[in-house]
Amino acid sequence: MRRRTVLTGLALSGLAATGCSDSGSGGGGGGDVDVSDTEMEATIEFAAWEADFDWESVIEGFNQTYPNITVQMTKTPFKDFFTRLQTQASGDNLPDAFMMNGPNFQLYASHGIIASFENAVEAGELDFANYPEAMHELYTYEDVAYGVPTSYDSIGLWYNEELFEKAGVEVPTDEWTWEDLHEAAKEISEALGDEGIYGFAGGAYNQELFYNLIFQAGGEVLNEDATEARYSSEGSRKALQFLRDMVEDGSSPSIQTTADTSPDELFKSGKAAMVYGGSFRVAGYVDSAVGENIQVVRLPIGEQRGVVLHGGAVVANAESENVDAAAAFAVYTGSQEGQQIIGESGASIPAYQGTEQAYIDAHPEYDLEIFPQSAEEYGFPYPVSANTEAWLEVESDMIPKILAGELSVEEGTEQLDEKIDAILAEEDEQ
Amino acid sequence: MSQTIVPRSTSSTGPRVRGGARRVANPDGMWPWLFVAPTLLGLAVFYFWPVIQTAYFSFTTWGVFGGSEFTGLKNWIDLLESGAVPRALVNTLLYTAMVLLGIPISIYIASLLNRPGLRFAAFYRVLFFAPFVSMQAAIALVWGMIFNSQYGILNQFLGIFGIPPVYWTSTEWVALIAIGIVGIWSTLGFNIIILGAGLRSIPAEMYEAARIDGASNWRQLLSITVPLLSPSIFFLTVLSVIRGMELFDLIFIMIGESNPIKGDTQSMVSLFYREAFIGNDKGTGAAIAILLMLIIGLLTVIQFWVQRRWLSFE
Repeated sequence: MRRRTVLTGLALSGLAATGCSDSGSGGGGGGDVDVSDTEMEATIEFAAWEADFDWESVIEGFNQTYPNITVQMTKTPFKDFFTRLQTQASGDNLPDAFMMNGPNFQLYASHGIIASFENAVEAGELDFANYPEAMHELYTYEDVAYGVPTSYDSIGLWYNEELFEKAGVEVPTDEWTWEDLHEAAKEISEALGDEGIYGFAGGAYNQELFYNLIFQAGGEVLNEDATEARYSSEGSRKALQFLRDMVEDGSSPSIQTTADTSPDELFKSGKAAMVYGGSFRVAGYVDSAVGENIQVVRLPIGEQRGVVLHGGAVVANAESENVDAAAAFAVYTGSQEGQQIIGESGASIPAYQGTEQAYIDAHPEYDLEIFPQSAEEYGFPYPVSANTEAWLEVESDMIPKILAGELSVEEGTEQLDEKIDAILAEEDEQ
Repeated sequence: MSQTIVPRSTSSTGPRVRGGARRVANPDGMWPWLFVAPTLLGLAVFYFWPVIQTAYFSFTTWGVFGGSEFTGLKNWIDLLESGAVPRALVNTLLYTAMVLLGIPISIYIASLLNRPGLRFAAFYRVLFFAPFVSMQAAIALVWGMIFNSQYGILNQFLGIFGIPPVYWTSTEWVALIAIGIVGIWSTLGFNIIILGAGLRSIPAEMYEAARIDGASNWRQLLSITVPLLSPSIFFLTVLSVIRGMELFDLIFIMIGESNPIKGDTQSMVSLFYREAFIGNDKGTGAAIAILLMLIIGLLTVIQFWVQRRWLSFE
């Protein structure tokens, strides 16, 4: 998976491609960021979505290395963040540096809106060996890196010890397989069903649920170069069938039930003994009614181990007059020092390997180390394409239908592939 | 008397009653135009021009970050081929029909509130009006809890009578009824205020005379109240249809992610939102917006045409 050796050559062709594909405003993407001058003077605007990150301390730390760059931060609620960014981009009014997520990244990278960090990589100022491989892939477009990873989410199997004891079932271990999960879930549903308690809260989330299962079954969501959907691959079908079986025999609540009450709500109110939950759920779970009775282990094993990784990154506006300063800030947020500060807020796992201890220490009662460990050992990048949001909408229309049994897995996944292929083909034209 | 029962807001139907005497050439020259110019200018800049632009955009294809090219009928053909529009239109029309049911209900409640000697009438009026001034998003959230299949108060209540839990917001068509119920509930207050104003302009003597002639309460409602309220009712049907066709918030919040009927329970406006803002296809979004405008326009014209046949000013 390491592509560093060919990067230099590909960087140039990649840049040429992004320059051509830009049909909108402005010119092609810039590639010549130079962050070496620590004395450079600039005032840059940094846009972030509202989160529990301690950006003020990060900026303070940044100013110790680059004393002459003033960073002005603006915060927007997450749900408005990308709408706002797109408006700003259309009006050539983008901030110099801003946060980015997986589903939107390629849109900005492919239109040459954000700056390449290849020069910083070559100069050794940015080294992707420090981050989980999946995060590197997520923020690489056509073999060029355009983002500096900030933090990431990983998924684990959360369970409620009290409910397991009540049902007389052995609690999960790191070595569980899908079969173990299904068996235990069924037993608990049968034992405690009268009280409205389910063994497993499934639902239809992608990142927290079925993407993981698809990878564990050896399936794919998109093909390697994101030109075709692969929901009808054998592994993907197997994963969806597994979830559907759990719903059909009552191990997991009906999809209509989880449409009304989300899986994590069911788990938090003690109505489900197990749930697939992200590392970002910790804060919500610890304060819930079941906070003292829960624990987390690695996801059960299918054909192989796997967990889907997603996380944010900081990117620089390629058109900015102060692109070097913006890039310098972005690179700093991903440095060991910057990541240490981000980790201390305990909101999310910092992407720089070795700085996750602060996140783990924030809640010593849970085995949170399984999150960074599984991410490092077998993390798969969150599947994205150039216009991810467009096909995600189709996915979220169809997957619940398939899981609810309205469409057969074969037929449903075929329709899904067909519809998403059409969207991916359109992306290519743009 | 005819003018007094016409609510101010329907005064557009007023001049016809007074006849064509006003049709003489305007002796004031351009002065009247000068006085309405600020309003006209505002309308032109902020309403008409965007409409014209949107109509043009519906024939163009947009890049995600701006920049557009003329692609003729492509968006319209895509829209017709996608099959999403007919279903969204059916959903929207059904919802609109349900919201219209709110008008007879409002007439009934308004006449109850208007009964002489009713205590706390103002208090009731506030109660009915409160939903109208509440945010639609907040209303949708609260009703979402009421409709919750497992823990919602509605299913708990139905359970007393042995009715098994209903998946209100995740069963095809049923969800539309649930949304319709919320729609009726949230517009009731506005309807009642408008109808209440109309009711108060009906002289009490009419009811007195009817009672002497032996007319029952029901008969009075049908033969006096409804005909004399017809201008207000007409005003409300026009408004309700427009508002109903613009259904968005309730669907957006009550039909969440992971809902198996999400794709089948879109309205015209939510379809517009999906195309333009999620799918980043502003051109197709513009086409949906224009289509919706044409449909609303057509429905409104039909209503104005029909009202000549049933509207009473006597």
